[in-house]
Amino acid sequence: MPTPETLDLVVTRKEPVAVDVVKLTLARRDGGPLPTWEPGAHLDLHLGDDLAVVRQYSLCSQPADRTCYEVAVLREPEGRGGSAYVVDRLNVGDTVPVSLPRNHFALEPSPRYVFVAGGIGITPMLPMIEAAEAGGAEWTLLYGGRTRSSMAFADDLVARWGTKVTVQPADEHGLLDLAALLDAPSPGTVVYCCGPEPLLHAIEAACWSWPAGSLHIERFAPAPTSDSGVEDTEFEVEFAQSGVTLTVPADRSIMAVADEADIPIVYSCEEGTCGSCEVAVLLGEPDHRDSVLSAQEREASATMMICVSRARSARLVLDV
Amino acid sequence: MANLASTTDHTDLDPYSAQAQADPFPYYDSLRDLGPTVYVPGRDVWLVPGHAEAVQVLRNHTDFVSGDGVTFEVPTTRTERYPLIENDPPLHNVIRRSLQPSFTKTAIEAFRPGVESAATAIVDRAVSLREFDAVQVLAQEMPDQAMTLLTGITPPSAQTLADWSDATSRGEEPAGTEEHAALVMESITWLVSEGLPNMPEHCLGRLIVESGGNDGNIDGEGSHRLMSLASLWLAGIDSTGALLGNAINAFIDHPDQWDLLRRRPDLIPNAAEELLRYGAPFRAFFRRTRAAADIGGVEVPPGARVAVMLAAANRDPRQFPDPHRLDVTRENAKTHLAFGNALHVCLGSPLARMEVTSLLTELTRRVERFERAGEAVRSPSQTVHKFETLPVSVVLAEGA
Repeated sequence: MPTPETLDLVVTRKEPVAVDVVKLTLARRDGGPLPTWEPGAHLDLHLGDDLAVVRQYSLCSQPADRTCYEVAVLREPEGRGGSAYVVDRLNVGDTVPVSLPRNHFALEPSPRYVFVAGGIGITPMLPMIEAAEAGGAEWTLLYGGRTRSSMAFADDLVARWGTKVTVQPADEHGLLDLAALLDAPSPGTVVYCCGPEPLLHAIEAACWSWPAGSLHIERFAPAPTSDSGVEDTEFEVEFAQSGVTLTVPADRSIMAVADEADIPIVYSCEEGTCGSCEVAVLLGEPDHRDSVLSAQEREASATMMICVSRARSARLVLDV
Repeated sequence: MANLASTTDHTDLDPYSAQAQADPFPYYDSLRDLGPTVYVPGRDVWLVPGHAEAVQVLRNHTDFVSGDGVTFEVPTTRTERYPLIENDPPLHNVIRRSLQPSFTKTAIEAFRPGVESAATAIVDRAVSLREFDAVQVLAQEMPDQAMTLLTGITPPSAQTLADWSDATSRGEEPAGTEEHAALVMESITWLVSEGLPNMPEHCLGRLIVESGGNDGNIDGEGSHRLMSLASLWLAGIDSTGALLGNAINAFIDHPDQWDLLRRRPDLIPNAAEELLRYGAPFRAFFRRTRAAADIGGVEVPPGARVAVMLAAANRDPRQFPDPHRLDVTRENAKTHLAFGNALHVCLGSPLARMEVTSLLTELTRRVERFERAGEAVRSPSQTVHKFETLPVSVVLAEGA
């Protein structure tokens, strides 16, 4: 995809809003007005030391405020480092390249809305609720999460909107009872839901009898293919058949380094799914990041996919 | 239909029976229950219908070789080997490496503007017709134009090229005839006499036949270069065309998924994967054994003909829950085997993906829904699952 236009914004505020969740406020360095957006829009944030990590976050501020964008970020220990970078490393004053707002989750005009949020999926609901209210629509919000303290904005929402908002942490109430909420299609009502995959599956199931187009869902970006939880580092690879030893720098793959040296490897997808670059491991401990090998195969480490996988040991010996 | 006794009847196991050809998915389901691999004496073939076992065979290119043929039967009239698909390492890797730099995602990205504008023109024509044969107007046109962009070869017509590509696989199936072989010969003759001389100055076609690929390592002696170009050219036509026809048909049967895609164009890349899973063009690819080998704990003998049933693996409920449902949000759709897997995974897959996503992007913008406008007719091809004709009418989206 062509690189979309980006804005270099500066972090003007960073505040915790729940356990492991921070809210970032981003503005132009000159304080000038930002491009307009509609509720449901998200931004791509370019993160990491080399800005190579791109993550999508829903805007949770109000579109009328052109001076800043706000996003809330949950630190995901299972993530590949985008959210950890935001929560642990990004500071007020830092510059973040940001895409123009894009919207795959636009709020359709309707007299009645049912909003359902799970965890950090609450973020797009904040501007949606304001827009629904401003348009004179009826609405309710059902908000679930693991524990009350993990649920960003929960107290503010209840304080501001009272009984229109139902907050149900799973440790107090169990999973959200979507069947009860959505048991019968209600004419003129549209449902907006954002949250983790199981919630989306559940709401799709609960809305099966609703007219087509009633349910709108926002899916979090697909899970990253790998997770080493650590910064990539440099290591050495000996290509036994070729009789060559090369250094793989932190920012390059084994595949790229081998290809450049004309070691006869084959590859295709470059993302650890197609299996074409599988090579036998003779020595060393691979850091498997592909989606080809099974758990047992990872454990055995007889082979690895060199397009995405790296090394836990300082040195690998590969049979190629 | 459900006749337990008949499962031991070999005619019921035959992948080339009229019933298995016409309605393959129930047949695949029944086959999968019989074990990791099923021997069909009448065809002398070992069928591998499960996803895990298919991946196991494809990844194990030492025991399951390509060098003895990857189709049901190589006809005696064809004396030239297809350099990429019918070779094993190390020669395979030498050839693949010469072509690989032209097929990386980055390299293919250079064709995006051309592919997208082709998609726009194709959909322009379709919406102006309102009622048309989706095979001719959508499915054949897209790969025809994309392959011209990629290779530099301008075929006599989309239909002629589709017929040549169709004959390439059908000549190697049990029902293959001399007519198929003659059509393949005709395509190669045309390529040499008219296709090659009329290619633009800089194109992949010239890079292969004049320079021996990106590193010059494709042997200039004999027909390696010509056959490399011919095979990837013909491989990119019938396959993508079949996929696109199957895709339109799938959306006629699953209008909710079309609505969802129109609302959520961000799902288009994943929808392409799901369509590859659901409507895989190639029913099977073959491998041969040279020594006894293991498939899921079953020993197959040396010299076995092994059918890796890609389309069956794509409907394996152990890999894809509710496999007969089209679900454009399916999370592991990308683990489909429509492009094969491992060393011989489809070289042109980045281009095929771009064709599908470009056409879907344009269609979702402008077509509210597809409706049937006549009887859809399946192709008699025993190798590629596709439509011969698929009459549709389109209801246009507002403002389209």
